[in-house]
Amino acid sequence: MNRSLIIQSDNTVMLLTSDPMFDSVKNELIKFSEIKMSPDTMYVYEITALSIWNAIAIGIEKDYIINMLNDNSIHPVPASVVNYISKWYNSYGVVVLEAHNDKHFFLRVSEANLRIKLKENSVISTMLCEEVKDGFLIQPNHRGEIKSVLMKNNVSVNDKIGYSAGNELSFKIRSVHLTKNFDIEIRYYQEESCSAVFSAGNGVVVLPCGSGKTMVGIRFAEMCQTTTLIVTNSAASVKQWKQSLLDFTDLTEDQISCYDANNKTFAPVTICTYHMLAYKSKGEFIHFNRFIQQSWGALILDEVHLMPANMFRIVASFQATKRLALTATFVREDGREKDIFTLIGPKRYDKPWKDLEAQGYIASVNLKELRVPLTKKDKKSYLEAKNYQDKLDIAVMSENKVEAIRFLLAKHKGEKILIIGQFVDQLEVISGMLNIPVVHGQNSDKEREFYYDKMRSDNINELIASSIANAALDIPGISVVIQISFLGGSRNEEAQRVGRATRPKDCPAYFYTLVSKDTMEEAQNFNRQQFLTGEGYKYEIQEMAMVA
Amino acid sequence: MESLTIMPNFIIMAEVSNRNYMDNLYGILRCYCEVIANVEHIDSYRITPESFWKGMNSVPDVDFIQLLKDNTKMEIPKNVITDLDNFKSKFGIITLIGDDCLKVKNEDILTEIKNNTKLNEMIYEYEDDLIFFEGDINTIQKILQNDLSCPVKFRASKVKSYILDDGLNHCLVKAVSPDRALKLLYGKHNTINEENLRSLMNYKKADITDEVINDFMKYLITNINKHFVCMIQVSDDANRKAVKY
Repeated sequence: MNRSLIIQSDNTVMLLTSDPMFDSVKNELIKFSEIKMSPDTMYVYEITALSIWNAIAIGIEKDYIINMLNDNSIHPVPASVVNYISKWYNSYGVVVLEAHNDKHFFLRVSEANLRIKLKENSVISTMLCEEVKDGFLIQPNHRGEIKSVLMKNNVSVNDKIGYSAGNELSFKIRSVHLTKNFDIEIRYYQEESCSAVFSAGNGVVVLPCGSGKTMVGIRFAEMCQTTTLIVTNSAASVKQWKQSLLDFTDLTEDQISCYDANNKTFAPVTICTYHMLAYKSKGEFIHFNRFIQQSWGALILDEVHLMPANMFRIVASFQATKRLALTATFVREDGREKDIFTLIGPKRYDKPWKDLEAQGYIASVNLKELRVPLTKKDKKSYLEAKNYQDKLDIAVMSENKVEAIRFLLAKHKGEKILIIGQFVDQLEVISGMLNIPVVHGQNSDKEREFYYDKMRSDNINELIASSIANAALDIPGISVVIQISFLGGSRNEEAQRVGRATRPKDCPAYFYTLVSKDTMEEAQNFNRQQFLTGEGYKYEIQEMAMVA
Repeated sequence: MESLTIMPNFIIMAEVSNRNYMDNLYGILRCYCEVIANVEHIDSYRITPESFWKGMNSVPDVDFIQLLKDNTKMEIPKNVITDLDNFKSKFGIITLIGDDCLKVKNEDILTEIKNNTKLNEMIYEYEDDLIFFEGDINTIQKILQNDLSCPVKFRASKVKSYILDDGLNHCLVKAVSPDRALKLLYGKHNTINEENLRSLMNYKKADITDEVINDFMKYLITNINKHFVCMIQVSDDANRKAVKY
């Protein structure tokens, strides 16, 4: 038998991409391990407690995993790995959450030692109402929180209470797109990811930008056939979701509501922003309190990496609802990924960017870092700057970046180009100099949508945008993205911005980052590239010759 | 036989079973990289600018980039080579001399240092391309790396400036220049006493015993070739005069 895995005692599993069995082994591995890195030479996976519990949730037996590892491992599988898998397998089911009566749920804990530990835990003990035989009674509103705390303590909870059915909503995905008239086909990974979450009842799906995550959400809602709440990160995205639902399903206008400042009505499918849901007035979540009174059977959280931290408590209130979270980059700069897992559900599906690129589902993007020298004047100011922030301001606003943009616009004349940056002042200046429209947070939704539509309908080929265009902006056909300034070393932002160019298209796509040469922007950009290089992307670094 | 796989995210995978790796590369990789995992089959490392510069200080006689090229199984990603060359080009611009002096080779960097508010709180004197500072070199290094993306090169013989009173009215001063030696004595330290001596020699609590002084003398003799040493005669009333450079 051909053996292709290197399994190590730190629970990492490595798979060489050159192996003839690569594809089949990879598909097996993802069922019980998490992919950590997928550069072009070697994929690296990690077996974790969570990945084992996920495997159990989809019915995979312990022996199946151990046999698969034994059959494919180049070296004997370390005993510690087998023990680790057994340990987490055996821990599953020790704690079970069950319905009890109208006022309480029953937290069944079958191990006496664990019951003592829970009572001694200062946080958990506050949620235990009463000790009964083999467990504790808890209040229903602690359902999410107690699972979250227990998971942080490496205790899995098998939640058997089930989900609210919501109100029935009958609809189906069209066979032909309503406005563009093409045949609608659910891609294999969209179907797989939906099924994984639907069968488990909750979970996170990680798919690259441009791979059709909205379609995953729509398919999930179709599977659920119930009243559905969709929460996303911007007003533009709310509108895009509505349009997609109309285009891809037989839902009608009156069945979809965009809940916003002007419209406070609910419909069988309601879409709103995180900001709206988490909005507080006089200490009260005024909108959320209205939402929670509705009967929702499904909750879809779009771009979940952007979910504000104050949404965590709100999400905990939706434990009775089937939940799907969508993201392209499960990297939160605040490090709270684990909170998402515990409150929404674990990562159920993850597909490397390069896999989908190779299969033609997302565009191939050439990544280039262009190092632009400062002008003499800028350089003098940079050298004489008093502190980090002053230096950064000069590096970001470098005059020569404008010349570099001119050069790239000429090089890609006729292509659809998005110029994206961090600082509104800089964007406004460049907009004036190059006579290209600009959109940012200070524009009204209507103004922004006006320019997005112009790009979509090919009335303009060039647009400047602030970070509001980082995510959930669907403008197909963008083949060139020029990043002129950015938020420090954010890996997430980098991946999202590259994602503006990954929508499938006929021509190759380019993503340029303009970095002022010999400034701290170089170091920041080094950090930014770490997520995508881990996904197998390669950056080409070039120095631009400029007139000083 | 090649044993390394270098990935575009600056991660290096090394085959433990490869003799060349264990015999010749293991120690060097630990100096130049952060260790992610040392396990039974594949060791993994991550290169960062800081780890690379730390390696250049620890094992300066190794051409790390060439070593990677010689031992990689597949071509090194271009972005990795470009960035490593860039990190390397910055090393040596700023060199620590003695315990309180930085020599700066590049005019632009010198200008940046002179204008940096945080650094200037720690710098008390400039002398051509030399900068004299008070405080912890690690703090200064952190600011230099963060604000200027420029590391500090430590000399191979990481010696401090020393003043030694031999108890016979002579002081041996080790410093980067004769002027500096005198300044150390006349400017910074008004008197040479046991307390100063202990502080300068880093013997904060221990008594200065004959044994310590002998060890120190031996140390100086083996390390003086790159530094100026001056002998100071100390008069009874603590007025000192340089008698020999």
